[in-house]
Parts: sequence; C-alpha cells; structure tokens
Amino acid sequence: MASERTLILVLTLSAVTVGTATAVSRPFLFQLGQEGAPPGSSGVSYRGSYRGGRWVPSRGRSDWSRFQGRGPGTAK
Amino acid sequence: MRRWPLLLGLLPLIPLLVLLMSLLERPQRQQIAVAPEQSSTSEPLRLESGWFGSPLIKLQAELPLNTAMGLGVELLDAGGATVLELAKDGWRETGIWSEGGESGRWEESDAGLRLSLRPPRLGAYLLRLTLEDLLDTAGRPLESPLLVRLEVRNHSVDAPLLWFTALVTLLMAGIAMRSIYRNCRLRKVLRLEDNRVRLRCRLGGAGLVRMELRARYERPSSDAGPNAPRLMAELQLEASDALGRSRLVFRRLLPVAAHSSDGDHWLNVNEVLHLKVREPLSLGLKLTLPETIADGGQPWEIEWLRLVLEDGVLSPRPVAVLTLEP
Repeated sequence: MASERTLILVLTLSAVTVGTATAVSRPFLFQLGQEGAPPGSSGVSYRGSYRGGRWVPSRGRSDWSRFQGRGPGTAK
Repeated sequence: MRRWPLLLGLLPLIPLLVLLMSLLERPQRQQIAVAPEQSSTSEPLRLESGWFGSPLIKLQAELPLNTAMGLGVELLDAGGATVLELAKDGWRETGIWSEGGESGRWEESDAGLRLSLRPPRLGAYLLRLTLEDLLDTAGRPLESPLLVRLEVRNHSVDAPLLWFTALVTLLMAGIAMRSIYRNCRLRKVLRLEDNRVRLRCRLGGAGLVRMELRARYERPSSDAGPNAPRLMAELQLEASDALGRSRLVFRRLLPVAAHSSDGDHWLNVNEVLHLKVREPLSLGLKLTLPETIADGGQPWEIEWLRLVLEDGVLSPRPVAVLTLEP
C-alpha cells in the first residue's frame, strides 16, 4: 500500500508541476524567426512566412470575400 | 495524527495563483485611428521574452453597424523592418430575426484579433495598421476613420490549461489524502437493540483504534417531546486484555440531541473515541449507555445502538486519545 501511496503522491506533484510549467512557458508558441507562420485564426491570413530566420512576404493580397456576416439564420 | 498530507489540498492553488499573477499585470493600451486606404503606426510597444508567460497582442476594431473591413497589420521591429504581416477581415452586422411569432434584434461581429507570439529578445516594436477596405453591406466604401483599440500583455499564460491543471490536481490530491487518512481496517459494524455492546477483537499496532458510537432513544408509548432543555447520557467504556485483566475504564457524560419530524420525537447520542494500542493484542471491549433517559415525563428508552470499529486510523487533526493501563 505504501508504494501505491508514493505513486499517487508522485503523480499529483507531477501533474501540478508539468501543467503549471507548460501553461507558463508555452513551449509550442510561435517564436518570431521560427520557420513558417503562426497558426491562423478567424478571418486572419498571414502575408508571408519565415524562411531561414527572415520574414518573407508573399506576393499579392489574398482574395477578400467582402461581407463575412453569418446573418440572422444563426442568430438567436 | 499526521498533518502534512493536508498540505496536498493547497496544491490546486498553485496554478490558480499563477493565473492571478498573470492577470494582475498592467497592460499597455493604445487607441489608433486609421483612415480608409491609409496607414497609422502605434507608439512603441515593449515586447518581452522572459520565462513567465509570453506577449499577447489584442486588437479590437470599433466597426460601425453593418460594415466590413479589411485591415492590414504589420509588426515592425525597432529598426522598422517587418517581422510579421497579416490581414484581418472583420465585420459587424445587425438585423431583425423572427421565429414562431416572436422577433427580436440580433447583432454579430468578428472585429477582434489576438496574436500570441514570442519575440527572440526583449525590445521595442511597432504596429502599422492599414485600413485597406471599409465597406457597408452594399459594398460601398465608407470614408470615416476606424478606431482600433490595442492592448498588449507581456505575461500572458495558458489560462484553460491552468484551470485544467487545478482541477486535475484537486482530484488527485483528494485521492492522495484519502489513501492516507482512509487507509484503515474496518473491524466491526454492529447494530443492537440493546444499551450495551460486548466484543473481543484483535486490535492495535500503527495508528489508532476508532470507535464511532451512535444510539437512538424513543418514548415507548408517548409522542411527547423532551421536557428538559438539556439532557445528558453517560457512556462507559471498559477494555480488558486476553487474560481478562481490566486495562481501561473510561466514563464520559455525553450531550443528547433532540430531534422531531411529523410529530415524532427521538433522541440521538453520538460519540467518537480514539484508543491507542501500541502492540496488536486480543482486546475485549464493553461499551454501555443508559437503558433509559429520564426527563420528568415518561422515560426515553433505547431503540438501538450502533458501533463502527476501525483500526490503523490516522487523524488529520488532533484528537483526544485513550491509552491502556500497563
């Protein structure tokens, strides 16, 4: 039983340590200079990407589809 | 008594304290007005790359109703070189909905931008905003400038992960504390229609012997409630060893709790005793409560007596402990 208790204690301390450290350090966050571009989000398009540590703009503007509203069909 | 496992209950506070520290940071705020087809540049922004959190840039455009925008965003370093460039398509729309005879006004928008990133080193950066399009619902360009609110935090943390960590840690700390404090042996559970319990059991060793006693009294043929404001009952505990020698005689006056429901009245007596038996031995226990409790009217008679006997109990708080005589 003592070994099970030790295991539970180790798992508890590991959970709080790993979870908190990961939330603070955010190791998977995009760093400027890292290859590629940050992950996109709603209505956002990146106009370039990092190659060899330098930001390389892409040619031309993306096609903007004008009004993006979803309309009353989804609004309640 | 073992107190240190109680500290496990504080572990879930660690991620919540980290979240609180992050929220206490004072953000850098600016308002930038951008005219259509023109650019505006922010005041210098300080972006840090420390160990605690990461920069979070939030932009919120104050779009007029029923408009859409195309906003170009460039992040410039101190030397004016572009280090990131993106376009944000935003809109804000309102209208009337009707369904099943009911109607109301709806409004939806997507005019915000959140940019989480880490700069290679601490430094001053600029944001250059270009309002490439500002149109009404018919696609006609608008001439009014657009106000964009900018907020920068340098110690943003992953809040959902911290909440999840706190929840998981709370769960695991509860399991850990239970494995320590509830790791006892259940020896006997007895319920007798009598005022005394006699039993013999092998008890002792690490931890304490715990006796949880509960008794109920009722008037045999009367529905009257208690007459006396405060009633007491004497509990007597006797313990003897394998040779029948008396090792403990203990008496205590216990308060009696009166209860009633739907015209029914009864009395309860509850007590928990802890006994330290250093070496395991065959122990005879005799617990006695009064057969009746007098309070001026018809006496209360015992209905039943319940005993839960556990061994190897660890207590998180100080408890009075009885010991055997040598």
